[in-house]
Amino acid sequence: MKLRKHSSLKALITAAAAGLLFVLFALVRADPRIEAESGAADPAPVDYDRFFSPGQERTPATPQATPVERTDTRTRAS
Amino acid sequence: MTSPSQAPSKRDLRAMNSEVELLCFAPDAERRLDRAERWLAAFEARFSRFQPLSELSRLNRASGRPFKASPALFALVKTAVALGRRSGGVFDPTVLGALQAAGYDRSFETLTDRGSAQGRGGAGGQGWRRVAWDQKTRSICLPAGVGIDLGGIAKGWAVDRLASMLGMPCLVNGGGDIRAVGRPGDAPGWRVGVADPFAAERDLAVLAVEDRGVATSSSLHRSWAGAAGRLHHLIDPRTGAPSRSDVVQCTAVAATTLLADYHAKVALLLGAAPGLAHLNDATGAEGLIVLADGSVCRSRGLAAYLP
Repeated sequence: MKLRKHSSLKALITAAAAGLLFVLFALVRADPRIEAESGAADPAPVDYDRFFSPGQERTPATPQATPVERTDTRTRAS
Repeated sequence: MTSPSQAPSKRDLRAMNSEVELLCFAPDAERRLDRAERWLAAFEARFSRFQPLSELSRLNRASGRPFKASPALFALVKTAVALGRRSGGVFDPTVLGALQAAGYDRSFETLTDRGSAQGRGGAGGQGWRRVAWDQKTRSICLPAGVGIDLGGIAKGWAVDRLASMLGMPCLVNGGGDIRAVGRPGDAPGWRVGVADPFAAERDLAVLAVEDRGVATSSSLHRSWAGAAGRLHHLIDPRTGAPSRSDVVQCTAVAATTLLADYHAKVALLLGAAPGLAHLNDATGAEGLIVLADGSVCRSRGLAAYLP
């Protein structure tokens, strides 16, 4: 008799836990913010040149200025 | 004994249609510089093809018959012919006719654009094969109608000679033809900038040079307008016309300035791949080639001169 009482209590607790999980899942699905994130399209690739200096336009690459090396003289066509 | 730690005596001159710069560390620098200046004036009077009374002009007028030359002219002509042979005719001191036909018939300083110059049709090259001389009488016989233009190698020789007068260390720069003797102080060598032919104020490289000659040839310099377009002073003896090489500038480093001048000119006339091969194969010479598209090629051993 005591054994049967224990078994039905166990089943009740399991059913209650499953029900609680189902309710929580339904709440999460219903949250519009989470829906927006999960359904959003992939973001565009980040343009890091603009990302770090959004106020500036990109300029064509120019050769790196090399430090001027002191010379004793120069050879050139003569 | 010289003292490289002290500032050198410097003298700037105008000769050979070029700016000439002399740097001397010797204690008696002023005396040496005076002597070098006098020697340079005498050199120009003797070897300029633009001075009608120069020894070189008289030799050219005497083509077809023996001409008794001074020891210096005799040695230079013999050297020029030897270099002609060594280069297989790519270097040819007898292209004077072609040079004049291209319009370079007077000092470049007085040369205006020559609308009638065709840029070809001059007395062909390979005249060096027929230059004869007699060592005993020191006489030279140019083939009839053939003239000599010692051009760059005479300037290179003059720079070498000037350097020999200034002691060690010293530096001579004759319009881009350089002889670096010794080294200034503790530096790894004299620092020689190689001018960018497309941006005159910029250097393509800086070489550290000790006891070497450096010279640069370029088809972008000393050029003028002719009937067939832009002409320049570097005649290709194989065509008798200004070179159409894809190399627009070559700088060579060699044991002497005369040899540097020779290697620079030959590599330019040969064109990119054979020119680079010439520099790689030449004993004791290295170089840097600039192509028409601005790209730069270096011979294998040039790195030894890059500090």
